[in-house]
Amino acid sequence: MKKLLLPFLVLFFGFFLVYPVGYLLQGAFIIEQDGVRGFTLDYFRIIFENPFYRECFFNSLLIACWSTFCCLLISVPLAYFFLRCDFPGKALLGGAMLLPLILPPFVGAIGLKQFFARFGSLNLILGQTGLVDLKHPPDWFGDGGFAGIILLQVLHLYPIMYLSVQAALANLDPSLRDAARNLGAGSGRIFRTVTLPLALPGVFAGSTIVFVSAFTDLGVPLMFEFQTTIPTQIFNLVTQADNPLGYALVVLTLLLVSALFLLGKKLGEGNYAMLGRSASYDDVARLPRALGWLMTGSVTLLIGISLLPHLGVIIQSFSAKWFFTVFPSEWSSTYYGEIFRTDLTSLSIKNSLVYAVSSASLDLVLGFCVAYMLAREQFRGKNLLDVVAMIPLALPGLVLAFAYYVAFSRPVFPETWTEANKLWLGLFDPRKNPTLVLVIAYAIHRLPYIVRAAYAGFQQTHVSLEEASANMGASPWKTLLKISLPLLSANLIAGTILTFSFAMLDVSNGMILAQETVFYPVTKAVYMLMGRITPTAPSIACALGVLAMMLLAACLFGASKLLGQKMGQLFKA
Amino acid sequence: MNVRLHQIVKRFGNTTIVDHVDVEIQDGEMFFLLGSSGCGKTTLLRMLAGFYNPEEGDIYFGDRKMNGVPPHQRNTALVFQNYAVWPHLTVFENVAYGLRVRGVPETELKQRVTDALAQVKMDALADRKPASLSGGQQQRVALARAMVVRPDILLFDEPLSNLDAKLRIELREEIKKLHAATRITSVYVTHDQEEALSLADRIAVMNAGKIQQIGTPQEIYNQPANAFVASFIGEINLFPASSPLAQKLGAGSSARIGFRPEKVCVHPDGLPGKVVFSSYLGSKNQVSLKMETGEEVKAWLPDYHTEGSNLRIRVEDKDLLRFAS
Repeated sequence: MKKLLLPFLVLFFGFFLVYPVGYLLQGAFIIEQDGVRGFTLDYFRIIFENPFYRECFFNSLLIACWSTFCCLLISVPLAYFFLRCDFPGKALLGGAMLLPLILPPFVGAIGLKQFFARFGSLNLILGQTGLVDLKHPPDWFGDGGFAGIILLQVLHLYPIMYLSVQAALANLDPSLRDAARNLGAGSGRIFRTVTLPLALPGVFAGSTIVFVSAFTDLGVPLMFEFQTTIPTQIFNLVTQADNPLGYALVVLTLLLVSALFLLGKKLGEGNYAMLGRSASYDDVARLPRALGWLMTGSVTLLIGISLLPHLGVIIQSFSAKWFFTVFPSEWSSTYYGEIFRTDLTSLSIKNSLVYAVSSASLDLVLGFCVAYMLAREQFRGKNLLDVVAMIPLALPGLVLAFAYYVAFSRPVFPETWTEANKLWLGLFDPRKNPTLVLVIAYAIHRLPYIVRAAYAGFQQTHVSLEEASANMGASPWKTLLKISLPLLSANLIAGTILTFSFAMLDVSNGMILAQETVFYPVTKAVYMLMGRITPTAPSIACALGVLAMMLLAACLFGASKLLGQKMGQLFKA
Repeated sequence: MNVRLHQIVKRFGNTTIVDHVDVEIQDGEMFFLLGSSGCGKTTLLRMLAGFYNPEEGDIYFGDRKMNGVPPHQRNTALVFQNYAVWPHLTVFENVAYGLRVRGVPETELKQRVTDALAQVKMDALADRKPASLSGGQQQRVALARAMVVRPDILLFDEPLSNLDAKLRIELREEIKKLHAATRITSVYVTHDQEEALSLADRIAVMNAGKIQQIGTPQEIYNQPANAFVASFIGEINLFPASSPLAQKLGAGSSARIGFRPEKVCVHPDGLPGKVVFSSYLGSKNQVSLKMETGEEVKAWLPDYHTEGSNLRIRVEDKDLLRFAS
């Protein structure tokens, strides 16, 4: 078995992970002068000496820091109360918390703009009541959209933070708290000396995801036409394959992200595997009636606010005219039909489905193979495979997409660029047809999650079940298909659904790799529509967004049904 | 510190876990709560620690009524079944935790922690993190952590049940020595009767939330209050008074009679039976006899008897246990 899988895995990771990242690094660090190649840090010096790039860097840093801080502020108390208290409607609200995830934040930006732009619904309402002077309406998105970007990131990302923090808290053995209480520590002291230090690695991991997502998000700044961020600059530089500044910006992002992940790994090192968890005592406190309803109310309000972008998108998708009014003045439902009559949109739906289904299938096979090798086989380089399979966690979509674009749009080994090789190597050229690289990019991104899900499944399934099958005379392949695969199916299907959803939601890969209209995925089609000046374009874009949203809602619902409590683990870094 | 439980009732939902329990534990005593899992013994212990409050009844430590007093204001120290040693703190800091909470000055704290660790032979590993310790070592740390705060009451929640047999006996002896040295009032929960018999000053046998008997190990073993206690502790032959064998032994007015296998002896004037099962264990020979009257009797005999041999056995009247139900 391993003789078959190992060479395949080595080739795959070598070609699609090591090579493009290596290409990226050499582009950022190697300089060629008079035919001599040498190491240089000049490009980074240029970036930091240029006030414009410095501003971009600090803007992105600020966006990421603020987003993380706000998410922590919302999610830590939320996770704590959800775990320790009971209040009306808790189960329902816990599920509804995942709803914001079904819309890429940049589509949400369209909806939110309708409400909070200078002449959006809020200012118009306030103007009618005389609270706001409509000649000088306040800018709720602040400073060219800076605050709006942060708001959208927070509304989209706090559920992920919530899931990480909750998983970290739930993993704590309650007897560790009991022991502290028994020795005389009060609640505050227990939180400070036991709960917090033990939950910190999990909280940090959640923060890292939020920070990295906010730092590298391309869609939202584009929607606000906010040019001074790192992702927008990378986007602008992608087609200039010879400009080393693009490489340097991407590598800078990569270094920052890697540093965070390494720090998180160090923090989690103890990763205190709990020794014989005590029976879980019933330590969920029922809140007093009034307090319970207050809790219900505030969580409902929070979810309500985070669904405002979705609401805006839905309203816009039905509006024939929405200018200077609180709500659209004319309604229409023709835009849903319009999606299928317009080439750009109908093609994009087909493209997205092809990309998503292919990458999910690829991930299913790949994830199962890697997890099987890690859980059941012994071979040299096992630790390396483990590390390599987890690397994509620290590779933001932006970074990998840029690396693919620059690495595969030119010959891998120029001397092998013969007529015969041109044909198959050309298959990976994103300028000709980005389908293959897009599918692989999506698959690589979600691979760590599906490997983790499958690996956990293998660990929960005692190896003796497989041994019994072999003992009965089944070949390894038969055992794999008849015993291992069915036992893991719930974990695998859930992981696959999430890969599919990710591919549908993705912005940066599609933006960077799909350069021609016929290859646009849904998200890029939405972006392009918003750039058109035809008055109905935003409504068509939003109708497309609503369709995608419904599809994703169904996917997430299915995944959470399959995974139940384990949902949180899939979002952990 | 003596402890008094008066008519304690604890329910979870509709199930009554502890049902009108009365116990008085003397100052300095090593008191055992013994019963099978689910009998309510751990619940009772957690009520002493303050993690639960009773629905009915009162708990007194000395003269102080403890109902509603939160766990951290009770000055009890609990040794957990799963050790509950904090994985992010060193051995030293684990033991020092309770002293820091109590605001003990640093020099005294160091001295007391070092002494406590020496008492459980863990002083050499003070700087280690728990992950690198074995189960037995972790439980020693937990023991030191509990003792060092000089609690009014030491609570043990099946502290040895996660350890292997050899370690269990080793730690059992250490707990006995430590208790003899400190005489801290201790309440110890276990389902292991050997642990209870060998360590306890007194034992309360529990079943289905009720106390069946309270007494010294000798009383519990030799004068069990009822058939449940008799069959829970050690082995016993139990027969309804109406059976022919019981009639011959002299059942009197009781409902059932019983006797321990080791009280059976071979005697020429005894009742006849045939060995149907024989298992030689060196120090004794465990046999099952089919009596002529039809009953099966377990007996531990000093000499070896092969299966199929005929024996006459008898039980002295003083060794007969008579139960009203």
